[in-house]
Amino acid sequence: MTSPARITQPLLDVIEVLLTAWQNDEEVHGWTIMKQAKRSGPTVYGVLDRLEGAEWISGYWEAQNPEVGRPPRRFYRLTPNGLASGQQLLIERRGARRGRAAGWKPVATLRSLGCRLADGETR
Amino acid sequence: MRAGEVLFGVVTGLLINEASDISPWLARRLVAWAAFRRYSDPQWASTRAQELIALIDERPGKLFKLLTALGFAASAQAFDVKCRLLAWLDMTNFDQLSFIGKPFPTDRILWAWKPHWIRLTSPAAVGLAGTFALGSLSGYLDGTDLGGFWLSLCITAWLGVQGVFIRSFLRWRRPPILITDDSFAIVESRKAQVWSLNEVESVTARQSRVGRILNYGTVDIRLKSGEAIQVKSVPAPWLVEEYLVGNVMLEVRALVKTRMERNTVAQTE
Repeated sequence: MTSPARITQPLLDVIEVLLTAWQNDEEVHGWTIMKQAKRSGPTVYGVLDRLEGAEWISGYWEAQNPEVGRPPRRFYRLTPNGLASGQQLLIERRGARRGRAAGWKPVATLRSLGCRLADGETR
Repeated sequence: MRAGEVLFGVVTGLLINEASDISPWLARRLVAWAAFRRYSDPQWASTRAQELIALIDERPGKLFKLLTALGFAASAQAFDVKCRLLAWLDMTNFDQLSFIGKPFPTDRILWAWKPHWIRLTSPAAVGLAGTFALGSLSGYLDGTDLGGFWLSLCITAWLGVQGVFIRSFLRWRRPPILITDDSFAIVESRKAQVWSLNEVESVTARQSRVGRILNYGTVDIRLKSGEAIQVKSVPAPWLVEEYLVGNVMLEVRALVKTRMERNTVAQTE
């Protein structure tokens, strides 16, 4: 597994959004990430490119947009490697306290990830 | 309120309404353009374009859609310009060396040296000193009755000084030494002199005390014909020595030969 070349604040913001979504069992697409990370589109997509290149996240298309007449959206989720590395990175850079305040619980998430992976869940 | 003001208000309102109606369409076109500008792989660019079009549809507000799309377009254009600039400055990009008119028996340039940045220090110092001196003089002239002529002259002289620096920079980014698998060239301005590697008698690299600290030096090349060539401000000058007369060149030649043979076999198969 590779790591994103540069660790920047926008990258940490995006990882935080993706971790929170994973924690809350939500699906996030580009616009949601932009809103929640409070970052501009090019910045968010630059980060998504890097994360996807490092195989920390994977993208997938929805079959059909629930709103009629709109094109399908591309959603993002953390890969198991991205989840573990992203959490570790956030704890290192932003500390566990802020992480908990943001809604993700490092130890619990890692444990639950272990359980889910052991159960063969592939989210 | 005058009739003209009322008319202006109505026309402006209509224009804004029309503009906001075409904004989503324009925004979709812009993000698709931006995706193809940003990504060189057409398949990936197409995926991103579809994704960004969906994103624009999600984004509320007609004019906000356009603003978001303009952000993507500006970013993609800036990225494109940055890539072009880096490629232009990259001396390992051999397309940039076409100005010397392919003087080599082969086009396999194995090594290209760009002069050390120390060569830029003199023109940079002249540029800075000129800016300071001419700026001070302009300030002084502006407060006197000597007229605009001398002030214009100062500005022209300043532009000239900057021109000298830009010219030095453009010359600096060109490599003075190019080595292919069987020849080497010394490039000065837009002229290149080419010799076979077999013509090299000896190569000596010299470094001053400052040169050792900043990693640059002078290379003296003596040819079998007795001709002596001196190249100054060469970064890591011992590498030139090693490439021209050392074992590295023999190894590189052997590697090139092996690759060529392998390619020939692959093509015949």
